[in-house]
Parts: sequence; C-alpha cells; structure tokens
Amino acid sequence: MNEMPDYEFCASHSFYGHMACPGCGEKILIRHVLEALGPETVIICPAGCAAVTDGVFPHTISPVPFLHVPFDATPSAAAGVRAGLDMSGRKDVTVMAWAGDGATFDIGMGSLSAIAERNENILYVCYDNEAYMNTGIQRSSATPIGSWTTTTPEGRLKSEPKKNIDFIMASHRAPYVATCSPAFIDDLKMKVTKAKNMTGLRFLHLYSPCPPGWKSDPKDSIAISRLAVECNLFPLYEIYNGEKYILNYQSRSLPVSEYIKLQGRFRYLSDRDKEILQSEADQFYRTLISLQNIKPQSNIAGEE
Amino acid sequence: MAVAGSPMDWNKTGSWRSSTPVHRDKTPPCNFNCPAGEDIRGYIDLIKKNQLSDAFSLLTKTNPLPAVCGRVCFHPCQANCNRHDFDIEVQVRLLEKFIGDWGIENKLKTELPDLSHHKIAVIGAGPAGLAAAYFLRRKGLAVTLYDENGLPGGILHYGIPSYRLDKDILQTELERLMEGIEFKSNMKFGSDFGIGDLQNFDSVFLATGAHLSKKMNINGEKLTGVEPGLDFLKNVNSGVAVDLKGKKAVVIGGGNTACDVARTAYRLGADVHLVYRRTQKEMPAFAEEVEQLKSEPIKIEFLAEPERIERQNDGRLKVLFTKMKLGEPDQSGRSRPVPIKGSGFDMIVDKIYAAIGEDPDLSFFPKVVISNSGEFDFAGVEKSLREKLFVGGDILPNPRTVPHAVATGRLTADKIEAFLKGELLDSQKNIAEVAGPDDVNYIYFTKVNAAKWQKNLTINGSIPDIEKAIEEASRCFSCGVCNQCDNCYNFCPDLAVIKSSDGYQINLDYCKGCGICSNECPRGALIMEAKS
Amino acid sequence: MKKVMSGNEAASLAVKLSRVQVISAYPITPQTVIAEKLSELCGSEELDARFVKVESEHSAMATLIGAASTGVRTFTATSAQGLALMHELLFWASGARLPVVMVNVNRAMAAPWTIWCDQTDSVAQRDTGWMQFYCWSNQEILDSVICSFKIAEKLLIPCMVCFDGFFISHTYEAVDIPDQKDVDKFLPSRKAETYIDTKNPQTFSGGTLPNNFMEFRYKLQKAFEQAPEVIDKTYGEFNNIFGRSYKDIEPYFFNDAETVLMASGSAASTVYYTARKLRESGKKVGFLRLRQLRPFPEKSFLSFMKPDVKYGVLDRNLSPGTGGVFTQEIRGVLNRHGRQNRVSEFVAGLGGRDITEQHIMEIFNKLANGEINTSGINWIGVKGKQ
Repeated sequence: MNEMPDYEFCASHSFYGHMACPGCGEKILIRHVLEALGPETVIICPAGCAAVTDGVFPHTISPVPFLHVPFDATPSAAAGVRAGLDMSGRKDVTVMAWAGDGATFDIGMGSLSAIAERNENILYVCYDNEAYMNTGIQRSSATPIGSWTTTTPEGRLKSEPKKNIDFIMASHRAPYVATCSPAFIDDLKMKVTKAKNMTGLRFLHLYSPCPPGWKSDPKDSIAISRLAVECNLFPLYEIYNGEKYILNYQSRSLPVSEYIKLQGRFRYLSDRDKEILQSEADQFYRTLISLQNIKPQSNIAGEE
Repeated sequence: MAVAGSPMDWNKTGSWRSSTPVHRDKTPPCNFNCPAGEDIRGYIDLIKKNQLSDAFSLLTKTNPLPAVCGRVCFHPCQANCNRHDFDIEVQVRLLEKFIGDWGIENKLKTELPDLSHHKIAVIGAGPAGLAAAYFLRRKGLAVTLYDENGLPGGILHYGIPSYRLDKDILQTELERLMEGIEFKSNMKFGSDFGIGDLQNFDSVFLATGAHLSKKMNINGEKLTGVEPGLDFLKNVNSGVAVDLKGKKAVVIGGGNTACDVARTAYRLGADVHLVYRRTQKEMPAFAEEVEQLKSEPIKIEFLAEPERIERQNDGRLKVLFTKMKLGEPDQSGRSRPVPIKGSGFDMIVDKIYAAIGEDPDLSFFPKVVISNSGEFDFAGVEKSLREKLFVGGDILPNPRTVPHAVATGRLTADKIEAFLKGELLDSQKNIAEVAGPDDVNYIYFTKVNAAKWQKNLTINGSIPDIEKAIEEASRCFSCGVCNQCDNCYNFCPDLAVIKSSDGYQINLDYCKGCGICSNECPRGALIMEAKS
Repeated sequence: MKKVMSGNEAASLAVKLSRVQVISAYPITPQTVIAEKLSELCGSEELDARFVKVESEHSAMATLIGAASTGVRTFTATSAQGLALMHELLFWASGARLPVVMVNVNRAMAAPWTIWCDQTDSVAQRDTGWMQFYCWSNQEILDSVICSFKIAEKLLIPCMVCFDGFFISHTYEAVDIPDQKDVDKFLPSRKAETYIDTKNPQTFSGGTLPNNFMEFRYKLQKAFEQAPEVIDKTYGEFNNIFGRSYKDIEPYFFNDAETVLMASGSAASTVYYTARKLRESGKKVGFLRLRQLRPFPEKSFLSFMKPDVKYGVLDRNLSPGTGGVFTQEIRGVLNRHGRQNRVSEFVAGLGGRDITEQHIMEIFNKLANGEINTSGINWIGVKGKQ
C-alpha cells in the first residue's frame, strides 16, 4: 500500500465537496472500490445515503456513469443495464449495483434473489450501515440484534438477529460472495479486483459505519470497522459457488464489549444480551472455520 | 431528463470542521534516550526497506562506531521502546550490530571532504576522541589523534574484554573511522609531548578519559596481589599472559569494570568472588552485564565491604569484610551502606582486584578548576591555549558510557567548527514532544511471543541475515514519526489527505474534521487541533 | 404477406420487426402468449435481443429503465395487476424520458380476481406520463407497436399500446406483415442522444431540488403538446410506405348523424357494426372511434363537436366515485375550450361482460330519446338495479 497510485481515480474526477456526514463509511468504501474497478464501470444506485450524497442536480461526484434508480429496482435495473450494454457491444464495462442494506436486504430482496438465480453478470455491492439511515435511522433486517433505531426504541430494541445475506446469496450458488470492511483496505481491493475479473452474479457485502446512526464518534468509524472483524461480528470471508468457504482473516477474537462500548446504539443492551451476542459471534466464527473443510463438488474458477 | 455532470467541489465542506488534523512528528523515545543522539527510528526504517547502505549512512552521521556500540552499548533505547510492554522491545542493539558488521563486511565508507588549512589535535583515542576526530575530519579539518597506547580505542580496547567486544572487529571499525586522520600512538600527554606542542594546532580536544582507579583506603591495600581492576584489564587486553588457574580472586566493586574484571578473571581460570557493598538493585553496572555475570559461576556477595587486608604465612591474602545494611540515601541518591557492628567475615584469596571507580588524570595541567556546573577552567594555562582547549569524554562528569562519550566527541567537533568560524554554537534545538505508549495505536500491530522471538532472532548472538534484520526492523512502531503508511490517506472519506512523495497535506477546503485520520495513525504523528 | 394470427402474436411480430434489443416481461393472463412468442423468437435468434426473464412486472419495467438508459430499444408487455405493479416505475420512465414501448393487454383490476377484459388498468395509469393508444384490430396492433417506437424515440416519451384481453388478444384475424426491409427504412435503429457512456460519464435522474424540478415536468408537458403533430406525421409516413392510415379519431357514419357514440377497443367494433346496421334501417347514428387517451387529441376532437348532436361516450372502465375515464377527459376538453356540448356517460363491459349489439342499440335509443342520466353514469348491462 505504499506505492503512489498513478492516478487517484476519484480525485481526478472531483470527489470533493460531497455532503456525506463526517466519518461516513460509504465514502471510504466507494473511493477504494472505484479505484479498483477503474473508469469502465457503471454504477446503478437506489435511494439511500449514496444516492443522496452523490449530489443534487446538476452536480455529481461520480467519476463514472451513475444511474439513479427507484429504491426497490436496483437488481433489475442493473440487469437491464447489463443487457443494454451487452446488446450494444459494451460487454467489458462493469455493471456495479451500489445499494444500501435497505435496498438489498429488504425492499429489493425479491429481485436480488431473481438476478442471483439467473446468475446475471452483475457486480452487486451492498454497503451495509445496518439500518435505513438516509430516512433517519429506522431498522432494517440488517440491523443487529439489540440495536436501537428510531423504530426499535428503548424497550422495543431489535429482537431479531441480523439477516445473513451472505449465506442467502451463497444458497443461490452465486459464483462469488465476499464480505469486506473499510478497515481492511487491501482485502477490500483484492476482493473487488477478483470480482471484477469474474462473470456471473458477484455479491460483495461491505461493512459501512455510520456515526449518526450508530451514535458513535466520527473518528471511531475505522476503529469500529476493525473491531467488528476482530470481535467476530463481521468476519471477512469468501464463498465460491455456494460451496467453497475461505476465511480471509484470522481474527483476534476480541470481546464484543470492545465493539459495543464505542456505539450508543447498543447502550440499552443488558449483560445477558451481551453474552448472547458474544457467544453467537464466536459460534459463527467457529462455523466459518469448519465450513472451510467442505470439499466443493464443482470446478471452482477464480480460486484463491 | 435530469442529467448531472458538474462537480460538487464548489461545496467547501472544510467549513464544517471544528478541529483540524495536523501532521506533526514527535520524538521517538529511542531517539530521545540515545546518548549518542542517533536517529534510531530513522535507520531502522531504512533497514525495513532493505536500504542498508542508507541505514549505515544515517547511523554513522551521529555515531561512527556501530559495530562497537552494537556490542557494548547499554541500549537505553530498548528500555524506553514503546514495544517493551506490548510484547518485547525492538532489539535495537542487535540491529545496530547488524548494520555495523554489514558496514565492515561491505567495506562501506563515507566521502572525505578536502582539507582546509586548520589543524586540530585530539588527545586520547578512546570513544570520545575517536568520534571527535571522525567528525572533525568530515568537516574538512585536519586531525592529529594522539594516544598513549600502541593501538587506538582507549577503554574500548584496553578496558572492555574481548569476549564482549571482539578486538579484530574493533580495530577494523577503527581503521575505517581513522581514514584520513593522522594517528600518533605511544604518545602520552605530559611525558611524550606537552602543552608546548599544542601551539601549532588551531584547536585541541582533550579526551584522555578516567583511568586512575580510586583507592579503597584500607590497610593492606599496597600488598602485592592487590591490584586496581583497570590495570589488570589493561594487561590482559594488551596481550600480557596472566594465569589464574587454581587461584582464588575477589573483586571489590559493582560497576561495569568490576563485572569485566570478574568475568575476565574467571576466563583465566580463577575461582572468582565479587563483593559489593550495596545490593544488586544499586549496582552501577549495566543490568545486562549483571545478568551475564550471574549466569557465570562467579559468587556474588552483596552488602559487604573490605575492612583490611593481611598477608597470611602461606603467602595468600586474607581479606576481612564487614556486612552492611542499607541506610538513608547518599548524594548519589542510592541508599548509604551502613556497617553492621560485629558482622565480620573473612576470605582467603590469592588476588584482590579493586574496581570501585576511576578518576581522570589531569596532573599534567598546572591548575585546573572545575566549577559546580562542570565547567573546566584551565587557569594555569596561558590564554591562547585556554581559548582553544575543549574537554570531553570520561574526563567530564557524564555518565561513563560509550554512547555518551561519542556524543561529547561529536558535539565538541561542532563546537570547534563554530569556534574556528568565530561563531557561537546554536544552543540545543527544541525537542518535539516524546512519543509515549498512548501515541501508539496497538491494534495495528501483532504481538509476538517474546521468549520465542528472542530465541529465534539470533544465531550466536547476532542477527544472521538481512531477512531476519528486516523482520525485526518491521516491528518498529515508528513512534511519533510518520513513515508513510497511508492510513490517513486511505481512510479519509473526503479525499482530504493529499499524498505526495514528500509526505501528506490536509486539503483544508474539504476536511470535515471527522478525526478518523488522527485516530487511525498507528504512531501518533497526526493530531487534531481545535480550529481557530 | 398476409397471415392469420391473434392480437398477441401480432404484437410479438411487431416487436421482432422493430428490432427491439432488450425485452423483459413477466407472464400474466392474457398477455402470456406475447412473452412466450418473444421467448421463442429470441431463442431461435430470429430476433437478436436479450430477453430478461424477470420475477415480477415491477422488475420488468426496472430492467427496461436500466436498458433504455444505455440507449437500446426496449419492450415489455403486461396487463392489469402487472401494470399496476409497475406504477411507480411508469412515472420514472417518463420522468427520465426513456422511450420504452409497452403493450398492455387490457384486463380488469382485482379484487375480486378476474382475468377478463376492461380498460380500468391502463386508464388508471393516465397520469404517469405515458402515451396511450387503443387498438381495435390485430393489424392496428402490429402497425401501432411499430409506430410507437418511432414516436416514442422522437418525443422521448414512453408509450403503451393497449388492446382488449381475450377479445382482441386471443382473436385471430388476417394481418398484413410488412417486409423487414421496409420496416427498417421506416424505423431505423434508435439513436439516443443521452445515454450511459463510460467515455462521457454522467449522472442520471439524481436528486433535484425545488428550484430545478418543475422545469422537467414543464418540458415533458411541452413534449406531449408536440405529440399530436409527431404522431400525425409518423402515421402519415407509415401510410406512405405501408398503405395503411390511422387518424387520431376515426369517424364513421358521422356527417349527418344526430346521435354519436364514442368508443375504443373491441367495443368500438361492436359499435361500428351496430351503427352500420342502424344506418341501414335509416337511423341517423354516428360513431367516433377513440384511439388515444394520451395525448388526448383535442384539436381533432373539437372538430367533431357539432352543436345539435347528442353525444355519448362508452367507457369500458370505471374510476369509482367519478365514472368512466374517457368521459371525464372529454368533458374536460370541452370545458377547457368553452364548448357547450353535453356528453352522456355509459359504463359497460366491466370485468369482461360482453357488450352486445343489444347494448349498443339501447345506448343509441337512450341518446335519441333522452332517457338518460346526463349528469351521472348510465350503467349498461348491470343486473338488477341501475
């Protein structure tokens, strides 16, 4: 990472002046994702933080063509862009859906499942800030258990665990599913580059810290992103064709309390809740480790 | 249709900020604690990048004796390393040794500038004199280096035993150091040459060290078989054969000299005892030396002092000791040893070595007045000489260590250069805040198993190859000094950290002051300051 | 070359002839044959297009929005529930000025469940900024679909071509199939001016503040105001090449008619048939076939408004609370232009109830003898009370 890039892609096309909150995870992510993908990319982006902070007409910070689409339409619109580009001889352009957890886990879930089932040649990237942040911090199915949001206030905290979108996508036998964190930039770029060079439905799940939504200090965004991985709440792994699992990073298995204490959204968690959270995180991590032992049946392309 | 293409850069989000990140290096604790003033962090960084010649250059900018210091320095850098409590401190001394040896193997040298017309005399080729000579020569000044002994090195050759500092390595390093310098051996100041000979020099640096062993001031001190430890060492280090097989020797003292004497005597076949009047905690010897001492079959008796020495009928010596207890602190800050009445014991020995401290010998100067602040006034010397006379090394009441001596040599070279130009030397520059453990973001570093790591780092006491050296150098946190890890650059959501080959700048038009960059700097080189 | 085919097949053939590049459709009765036929054509590569087999109609329109944004020609077909499911995206397609063409096979909206014909589905979408054409023959379907691409791409307004479910979609008629060469001449490939292009990166349909939004709607309205001219010109060109002409309002037996009924879709052919019969028996009845709901052809319409004629509008749709939608539109046009003509409203055929010759006669009689509710709905064919 010490090499000077020839060309900071976003800088040369004026990423500056965007309206994202200080410490926004999505902007750290999009920067590096675009740098890894390069200019032959089209972004399909539904309503959400990314869409709004891209800029208001006639301004935009996107260095590549950026198609705004309705909230629930991302996967299908992306499929349409792919079809249109293919039919007009532009097969080498990467079609990237850039959608939040709301658009991905909830309202767009049906069509996401459809494009995965059809194995559309799309790079679908979900930046997950774990609630409907753009509309003011309402819960989504990506909100972790025990979290405060405006629709899961104190006394009615989110009682359901976070939906495991990665396993859902793997169940569709998507060629490539991977989790990434902005605290691990090399890993993120490696995965984006790998995904770019594959075909079919590639799904990247990006952890995206949100200071106002998580009631955290903006300066802690990367620290929290790192702890999410180190505490096994957001392990970094890849799944190929729904059957080969690779754990990319051996975490330090730090206690979840380290993670929780930096975020006000967890302030109402009881000690019992924390214990549950801890044991579930550890259990999942152990599961991932053992999943690595599965012998895949199909031929794997793009193996590590 | 609504098609947007114009940028958002008119929106100067820098106005959102209430605090601003500032890249400002702090002083790494290793650098701060190095008596020789080495840029330790700097050369370790170069080793990490496999730029060994550059590392050697940087190191020798302040210390021309890396192979020596890599063997005998007491490494206060390591004790203050911020990695010390994390897992195990960076083994700076071993890295210095590696670079020193590498420099010797690869015959590295520095360019010698042309000489001006000035001539400088350096009296004493110990570490202070050697360092001064080295730096003066690199300022284009002609140096004549005098020493009373046949070989240069001073305490390095004649004091420190060969098992601590190999004599071949020492002399090879000194050869490189003394290139372009006139060396006059076997010239003792005050007998082989004197004040009169100094007229021809534009400046003189007196660095004759401290070789007068302190007296025990007890009865029997003058008996044969009672010797100053330093003299014993000088003999052995000069190649004189000394056979102590079957003999019993007792060493009085607790400093480095006492340890050297004890361990040398042991290697010459003696059954050695070391007696010190305080406890291990108060021993002035380097902790590492004491550990080495304890690992050898040398018996140590704490809290005892010799009262008198007697000759027995069989020719052996009987030493009467009194046991001591620790009382109030004395002027050194250590507990004063207080004799316990009626607690005497004796020891029958063949040799007694006294190593209770040394003083400088300034007898060859007519009258020397030393002020309370350590200033020397050579009152008995005529003005023209007095003006150009500088003093350094163990003559001064510095801590008596090699790196301290090297520092005085280097500093004196600067003073002499300024003196010759008719200028005053700039007073000590402001030292930036020292980076402490709170400046390090430990999440970025992986702990090693200290015991395993130490064991695997060296073969025969040295780092064996470049790969291992780079591995060790990579453990350096670079405390307080930006080493271009790119964290601030990578983690900024606003692209407000501008990167160039010189370092980083903050784009104040867009920085929102979120503080991520500062929080994620692994080494405290980037702090948030309230926006004015 | 003439061939006997169903309405759905005629639509599919038109899509092939128009060299559509991306199709995305979800099956729904009575449109399914279109999806099947197009799948077949794409599969055999008679049509060089990508058929995206989406999982819902909403996704079908979303897919076309994506595809049309890249500058290619796009098509879908749906009906009733499917069309309604696309509702938010219809606004999007027109707001984004994407020339998507869609066939809507008219079917009644649930609840209760039904698969049979009425026009409520498409008329309920009249505010979404799409052009709407209503066909009464399979030939017209084929011709209108082809023309729609040309009109839509010229005006940058999406277009839906509607025809009755089962009555037209599944009925077989002879259709003259134009030559591909001639169609290519009439309708060259789409040349989008603004589209997704990595060589010229732009951002499409982003957030627009109050100080900028209204102008987009203004422009869309202005495009609609230009539409009648473009439509007329296009159909004129079509006539020159293919020898078939279509007017925005088609009069039959009109000149000396005393009572005139207006209708669209398959009901229109029943009206025509009945009117002809009535004329044969000396009744001075007339008939205006309505083909366009959006843009409503105001100029031509007003030219058919004579002072002493009794007009009725046959709506095979219902906007509950108000009545038939064509009636509303017409009353609006008349009022806007200060015309005093009264039109009577007739609602019939909802949910696929057959509109018979008897019904039409009943309407003409009522118009003639004045036994009508001139300010409310005249329900035709409803069991029990009216």
